[in-house]
Parts: sequence; C-alpha cells; structure tokens
Amino acid sequence: MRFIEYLIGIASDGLPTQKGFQSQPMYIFLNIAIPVLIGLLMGWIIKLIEKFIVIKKRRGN
Amino acid sequence: MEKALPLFPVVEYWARFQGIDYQVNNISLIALGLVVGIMTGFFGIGGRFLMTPLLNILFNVPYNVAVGSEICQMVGTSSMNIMKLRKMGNVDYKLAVILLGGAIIGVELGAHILEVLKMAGNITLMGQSIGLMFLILSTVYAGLFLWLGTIIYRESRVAFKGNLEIGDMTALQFNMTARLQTIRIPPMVSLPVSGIETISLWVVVGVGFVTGLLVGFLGVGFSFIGMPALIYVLGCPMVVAMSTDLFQGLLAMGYGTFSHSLKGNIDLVLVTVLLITTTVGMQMGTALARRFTGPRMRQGFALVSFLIVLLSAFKIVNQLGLIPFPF
Repeated sequence: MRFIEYLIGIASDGLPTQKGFQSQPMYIFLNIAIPVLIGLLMGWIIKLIEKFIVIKKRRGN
Repeated sequence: MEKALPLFPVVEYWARFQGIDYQVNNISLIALGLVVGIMTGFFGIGGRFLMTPLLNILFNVPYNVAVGSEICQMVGTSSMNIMKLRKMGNVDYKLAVILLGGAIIGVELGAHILEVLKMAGNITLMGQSIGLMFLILSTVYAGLFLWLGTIIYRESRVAFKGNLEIGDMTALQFNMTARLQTIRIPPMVSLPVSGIETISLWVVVGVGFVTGLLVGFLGVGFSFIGMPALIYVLGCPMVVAMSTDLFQGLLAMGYGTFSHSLKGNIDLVLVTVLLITTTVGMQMGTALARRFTGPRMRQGFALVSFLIVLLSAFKIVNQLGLIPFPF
C-alpha cells in the first residue's frame, strides 16, 4: 500500500496545480524507470517459471 | 488537514479539466489488464492496441492520459522483451539509428497534436458540447479498427481457402517493396545486415516518422506497425526486423514517455497496475493460443476489432445525446 501511496504522490507531480509540481524531473525519471524495472522483473520471473516448467517436463518424460 | 489525493491523480486532473466523469476503480482495471493481456497473448501482435480505446470507452479515461500511460507501459513490455534480444541477436544498428531519427520526430509531432487537441477543449456539435480530442481520436480509432478488422478477416478467408499462408507477402506488398527500393532521392544508404543493397535514406526516415507519429498520437505499439513496415515496406528479413524493431522501439518509446511526461499525461498508478496485469494475462493468452491455431484465431481478432468500432460509434452517438450508453 505504501508503494501505491508513493506512486500517487509522484504522479501528482505531473499536475501543474499540485504542490509537488516543482519536483517534475523526479516524475519524468520515475515514469521511465518504474516501467523498465517492472518489465525486467516480470521478464526475469517469467524466465524462471519457464525454466522450472521445462525441468519438470523433462523429469516427467 | 490536507485533502487525500485520489488513487489516479493524473486521470482525475485531466478528466476534471475536460469535464468528464471518469469511472476507474482497481478491480475493473485489473480485469481490463488481464483481458487485454490474454487477447494480446492469444492473438499476437495487435492485442495491446485495444487498451487505449477501451480505457476511454469503458472508464472515460481522457485520451491524452490513456495514450501517455500506454506508451509508458510499452517501455516496460519492451524492456521485458529486450531480455530475449541477447538470444535473438541480428540487430541492424545502422537501420535502427536511421529509423530512430524519423521516429523521434514522429513521436514528438504526435504528442504535440494530442496536446493541441487536449487544450482545444469542447466544441458544439448538433447542439451538444463534445470534446474535440475525444471526437477525433474515437473516429480515428474506429476507422483504424474497421480497416484492420477488414484486412484480417479477408486474409483469414483467403487462408481458409488454402491460397495463402497467414503472414505471406502478397503480390501487392512485393510490388510496394520493390517500388520503394527504386526511389533514388540522395543520400542513398546500404544496409548489409538487412540484405538491402541500396535504399534512399528518406524512405527509411519516412517509415520511422510514420511509425513514431502513430505511437505518439495513438499510443499504438511499435511492434504493431514498425515490424510489418520493416518486413513489407523495406523488405527486411523477419529475424532482423524483429530484433531491430524491438531495439529501436524501446528507445523511441522511452522518448515518447519523456515527451508525454513533460505534458503531464502519464498516471503511474494506472501504468503499474496495467503493466503487471497485462503481462500476467499475456502469459495466459500465449498458453491458450497453443491450443487454437490457424485462420479462426485471426477471425476472432477481426470480430474484436469490429466490436471496438461499434463501441466507439455508440460512445460518440451517446455523447451527442442521441442514445444512452450501456456502460
């Protein structure tokens, strides 16, 4: 939940009317960094699952 | 005491700015992410293209936020796929750099057009006030899906008759590739990795520009237009096109995210929820697709495309106050 709250705070930096607008470089940086990190993490998890399934299948054969 | 921020602050801000009642909640968003992910995995290329119009049709997310957040999500998907790039190899770096030059200009122009439409506000049509951005983007999406659905439906019907394998180049496509390679506007470049002896630099830049424009304006994925353009328009081999498109697509979408960030069009909470759910859905869809193959699947995608056309048309008619919208 804290992560979501943090994201909401960062997202509000993109709004010209919000208080945090001054820290816009952080908003831009995180807009690129967060999807890249999530993408790499998900890719790694999928790779791991695929590896596990392949090993299980081989053992099954 | 300070008022707590809404869960989707950027969506909320731009919806209020455009006088729209947005209806995003966590559960429905997770469901949408999973459904679009499953369709992407099941149908292959093109599934993600559904996300932007569906965000607007179902939840009233303003198009500028739907497009910006979709591009941002695609950065995540591309980084996930880039892990496979090491295995695939075959990136034509020279081609990627030239394409990127055109793509960046296209992405910026697309984002700028969206910005102009966003700031244009509402117009009066048939006595009703309607958002100009909503009207134009809904019409463009409906037109694109109609075109796409028709092409895929026709292709699958031909494949049913056994005259054409899905993905085969038609005589028309061969003709177009040959014609473009005969354009002699200097400077000419040679792309040995892609097996292209000589081609005008402007043709390659033009392909990058058009792809970038559609990405920046509509939030359409690079693999959706970029890869077919590399194969059918420039005549790249499939394996080179895949790797090159993935590599330059990531860089161009990174720029798109930067540009849309400057315009305040990205909602990080929306991006995070959708990125995780669509990735999970894509894996489920890919597993499902192994059981169903052939032209029937393509016909399924054509049907989904026609459904989007109908929903977009309904929504426009509803905004004009002619009929109530079911959602």
